[in-house]
Amino acid sequence: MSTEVTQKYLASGSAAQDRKWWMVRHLKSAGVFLLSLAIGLIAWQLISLQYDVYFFPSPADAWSAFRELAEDGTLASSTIDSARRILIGWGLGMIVGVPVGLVMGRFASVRRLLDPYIEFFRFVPPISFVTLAIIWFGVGEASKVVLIFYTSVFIVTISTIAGVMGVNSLMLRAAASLGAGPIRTMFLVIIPASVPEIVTGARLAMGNSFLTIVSAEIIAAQHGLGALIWKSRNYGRTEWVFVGIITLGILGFVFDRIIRVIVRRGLARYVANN
Amino acid sequence: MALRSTDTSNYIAGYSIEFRNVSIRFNSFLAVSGATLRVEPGEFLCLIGPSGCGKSTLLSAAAGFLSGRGDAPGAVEGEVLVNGEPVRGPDVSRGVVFQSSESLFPWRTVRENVEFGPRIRGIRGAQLRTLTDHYIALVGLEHAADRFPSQLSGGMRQRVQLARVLVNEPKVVLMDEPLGALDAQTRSLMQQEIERLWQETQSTIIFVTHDLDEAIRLGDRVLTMTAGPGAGIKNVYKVDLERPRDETTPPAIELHRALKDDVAVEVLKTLKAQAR
Repeated sequence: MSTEVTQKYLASGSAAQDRKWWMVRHLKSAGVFLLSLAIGLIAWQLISLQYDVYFFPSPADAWSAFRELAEDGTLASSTIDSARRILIGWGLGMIVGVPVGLVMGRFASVRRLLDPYIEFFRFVPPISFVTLAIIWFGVGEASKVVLIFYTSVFIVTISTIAGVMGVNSLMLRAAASLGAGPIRTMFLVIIPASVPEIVTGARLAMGNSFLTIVSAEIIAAQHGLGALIWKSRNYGRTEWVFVGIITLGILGFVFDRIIRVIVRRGLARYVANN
Repeated sequence: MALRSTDTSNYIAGYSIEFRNVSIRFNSFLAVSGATLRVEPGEFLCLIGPSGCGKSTLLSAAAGFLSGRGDAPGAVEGEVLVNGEPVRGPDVSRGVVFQSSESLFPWRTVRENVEFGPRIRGIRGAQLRTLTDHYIALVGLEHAADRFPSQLSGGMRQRVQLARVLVNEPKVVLMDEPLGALDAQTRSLMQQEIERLWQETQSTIIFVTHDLDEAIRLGDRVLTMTAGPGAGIKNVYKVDLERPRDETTPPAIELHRALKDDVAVEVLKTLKAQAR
């Protein structure tokens, strides 16, 4: 990503040449991507030939299961339900984690005060809170969103702290002697300088959210990809499980891509130039 | 361009800087001990001495970076006065140029870096544009105004630092080895630039350097420091040579020799102390 951005800023050669170079590179990487996909599918097919559909469905079995679930709307609604929970929980994790990280990174006293809790809870996996979440927040949406929030917030906080503490002290000194007080220093220097770490935290938190969504939906959800995977087991429909897993993987990939595009479009100067 | 006299009584624009019996400690380490010095308004003062002798520490004290708290450790005893007022913290009237261009904001273009100070002072619109254009042109970066620091050479980055500081029209400019990381060619060019900018802005400058010829070329006076811990001021040399100076003339060579001897003695002391 950084090379693309650098490419954009360093206007080297003619625009036409740049476009050509860009296309060649993208065609190449698309080719490798398709090749990798083909190898995976062939391997999957070969393995599935050894077993029956209940134990290990073939790509064709998964495809027909996909069409079945897509046609009756289960797949779309499950995907939307899961995506919504992830986005809300992750979004709340960002909304809380970033400011807390900024304050903890800036003030050693606050950091020392909160550090024991951060260091404790970040090692307790969200799945161990599933029962408590249901007792406290019920079987509705709240308990799932809370679990996603839980899995996001610490990693975002820790990344943000790392960003703030990594801000070059020369920049802080420069800002102070250019007339910036503590608040301007925070908004004009510390936050922009911490963007790369905050973005890393956001992406890691997104990954964690996907790891957690299945556990969150397993126990008490009627809908969602996790619920789909769990219920399929009860029906003995292994190919549905495959569809659920593949959809989760694709959804995660898409979300990560969206974050990357947003970063590239809106935050390039903070990420590429640091 | 009119040459400025080295007669300090004519200076009006810059502020005076005074260190009165200044000692600076970092925890139990005594970095500077009992330094006393007056820098006249509009004077160009060069500070030389071996590494770790407290040159930068003195500069930091004048900049207001040493509050003895949090981000800014270093307890200052004695008085540091600028324009007769005690230094309590960093201030726009005291600009700082650092050796490392990592002090630039890498996510801001040259123009945006220069705008940093004026924007904080509430300057906007056409006035902001005129002001930043003027200072960007003053350091010769018109063609690079929309580039990011990562796209500039070392010399250009130091020019950005200069413009970013000068746009605030500081009364004092504190330079901590600003040319230390540059190649000889760029360095020589930048020395001319700094001399010219100083003559135009009339600000008081304290300039820390390792380079004796640089000090001779730029300073109204050159100060040598003793080796730390407990560093202090060793000797003061008045440089009575016409500007622009030529470091190959006999008086310059003589001064070079004196400075070299001063520094050599102190380096030797440091080495002996380390061997012990």
